[in-house]
Amino acid sequence: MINKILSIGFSLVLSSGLLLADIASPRGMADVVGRDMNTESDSLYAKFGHVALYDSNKKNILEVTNQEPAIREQNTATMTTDGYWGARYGIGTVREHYKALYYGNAQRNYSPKYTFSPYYQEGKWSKKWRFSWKKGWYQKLVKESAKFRCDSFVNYCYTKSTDRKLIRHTWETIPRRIFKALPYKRR
Amino acid sequence: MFKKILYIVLFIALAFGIFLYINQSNKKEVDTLRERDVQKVSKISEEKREFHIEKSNNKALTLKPKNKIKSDNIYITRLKKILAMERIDILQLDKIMSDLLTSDISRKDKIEGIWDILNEIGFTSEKSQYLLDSLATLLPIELTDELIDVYNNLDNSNIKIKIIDILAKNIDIANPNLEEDKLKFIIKKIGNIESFLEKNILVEQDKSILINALTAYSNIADSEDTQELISQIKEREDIDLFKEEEFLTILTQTAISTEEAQEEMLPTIIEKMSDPTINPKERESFNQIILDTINANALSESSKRELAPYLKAQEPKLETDKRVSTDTISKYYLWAEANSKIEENSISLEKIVMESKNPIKISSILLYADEKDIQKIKKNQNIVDVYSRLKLALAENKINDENKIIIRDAISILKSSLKE
Repeated sequence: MINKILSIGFSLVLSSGLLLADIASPRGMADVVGRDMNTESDSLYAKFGHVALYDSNKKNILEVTNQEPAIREQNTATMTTDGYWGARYGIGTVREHYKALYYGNAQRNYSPKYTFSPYYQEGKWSKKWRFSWKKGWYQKLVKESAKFRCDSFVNYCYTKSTDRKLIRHTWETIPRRIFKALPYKRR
Repeated sequence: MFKKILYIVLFIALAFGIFLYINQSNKKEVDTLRERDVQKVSKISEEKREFHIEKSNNKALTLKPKNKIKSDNIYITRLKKILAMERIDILQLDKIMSDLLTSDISRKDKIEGIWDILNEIGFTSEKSQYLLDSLATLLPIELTDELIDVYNNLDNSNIKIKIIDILAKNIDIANPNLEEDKLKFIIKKIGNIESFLEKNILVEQDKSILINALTAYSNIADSEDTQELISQIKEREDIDLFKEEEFLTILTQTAISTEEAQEEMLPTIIEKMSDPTINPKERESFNQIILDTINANALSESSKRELAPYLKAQEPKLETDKRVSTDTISKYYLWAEANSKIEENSISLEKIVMESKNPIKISSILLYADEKDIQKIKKNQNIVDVYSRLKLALAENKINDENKIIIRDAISILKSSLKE
C-alpha cells in the first residue's frame, strides 16, 4: 500500500515538474508571449488574456495596453508572472522576426491609442481631402494615429512582416487564438 | 517519525498535483472558445472609405438621445442581448459586432443602432468604449453635434480623447465630388469640429487632452490657422503645458502638410535644426517625421532636395565595439532608406552593403530592407565577399558579443542565397 502511495506521489511530483518545465521563457526574436489578465473580475476583459512580442535583443517585450502610451516596452518579468501561458514561435524567417518588431516599434511614432474593438488602424502618413474657406477642397498630408488592442497589434506585426495573417478574420482576433496561431511552444 | 515525514511529503505532492490539474483545466476552459459559423466578412476598411449620407434624408441626420430612433434589427438585438449579460464572451461579442458592421443593413441604421445602445448604457464603461471604438469605424459625421454634447458633459479624459479622435477622423472623405447638399452638410460639420477644437484648446487644462485636440486640429485646419492657434497657446499664462519638442512636432506636421507649406515653412525649420545647440529631442522629433514621410513617398521632390544636405549629416552612429540595440540599427535603416530616396545624396542600400566596413550597418540593411531590395542585393556578384567580411567580424574580439548575434542573424540571410 505504502509502495502504491509512494509511486503515485512520485509520479505526481514528476508530472508537476514536467508541467512547470512546459512553461518556458521566450528566447527568439518576435516570440509571442501570453498571460491571463490581471484585471478586476467585473472587467469586460477579465478573462480575455494578454499577448505581446518578445525582443530578444533588448530582452523585453513590446505590448499594447489601455494605458498611456498605448504601445510600450516592458520588462519581460511583467509577462512571465502569475497566469503566464508561455512563449510560442514558428512562423516567419529571422528577417521577418526582426521586421515584426521594427514595424511594431514604428507604430509608436503615430500617437498610438488603445481600441477595445478588434478592428485596428495602422498609423501612417496619408493624403486626405480637407476644406478651408480660403482654399476650398485641397489635399493635405496627415498623420493617421495608430489604434490597436494587444491581440490585433501582434497580428498586425506578423501580418506586416510575413505577409500572412495569424488569424483569418478580424473578429476571431483574441489573445488565446493569436497565441495558439504560433505552432511551437518554447520548452 | 520517517513515516510521518513521508506522509507529509506525499500529502504536499498530492495537493500540488491537484492544484496544477485544476489550474490546467481552467486554462483549457478558456481555450475552448466557441467556433461560430463564418459568414462572409467583407473588409470594413472599404466601407470606411465610402462616405455617404442617406439619400432618403435631405436634412442632416440628427440623433437626439431623448428621441430614440427605431433601429431595432436582428444585429442590434443580438448586440443588446450580449451587452446585457453579466459575463461576456469577447469572441462572441466581436463576432456579433463584426456581423453588424459588415451586414448589408444601411450605414445609417448601424450608426443609429449603436448610438441608441450607447445612450442606454452611458458613455464611461468598458462596454461603451467598445461601442464607441466600433462606431468610429463607420465615420459617423452625422453624430458630430451629439458627440460634442457628450464630450462637454464628461469628466473622463480617456473618453474625451476618444471622442476627439472620432470627430477628427469623421471628416475623411474619399473625394469631394459629392452632391451639393452632402458637401454643404460635411462643410458645416467640419466648421463645427474646428470651432469646438479651437475653443477647447484655448481653455483645456488637461495636457493629454490638449495635445490630442491640437494634433486633431492640425490635421483638419489649414497651416495658417494651426500656426495662429499655436501662437495663442504659447501666450496662455495659466499653464506651462508644452515642451518645445511637442510644439515642434505639430509645427513640423503642419510644415509638411501641403507643398505650399513645405516651401514656406520647411527652410526655417531646417535652419533651426541645423544649429548644433538645438535640443537633441527637438531634432530627433523632427528627423523622425521627415524620415517617415520620405519613406512613405509623401514629400515633394523640391522638399527632398532642400533637406538633402541636412539629412545626409544626420547619419546615426553605429560603433561595433559598443552594445548596439535593435532601436539603433532600426534608426540606421530608417535613415539609410530615406537617404536612398534622395537622388542628391547618392546613397543606396546596396552600396552600403557592398562597400561599408561596418558589419552592423550591413546587418541593419540585410535585416530590415524590403524583400525586393534584398533580392537585388543577393544577386550582386560581390555578395560572397560581404558574406566573408561578416563571418570574419564574428571572430573579431573588439566587436561586442551582443552585436555578434545581430551579425550572425544577418549572415543567416545571406547563407540561404549562397546555397542556392
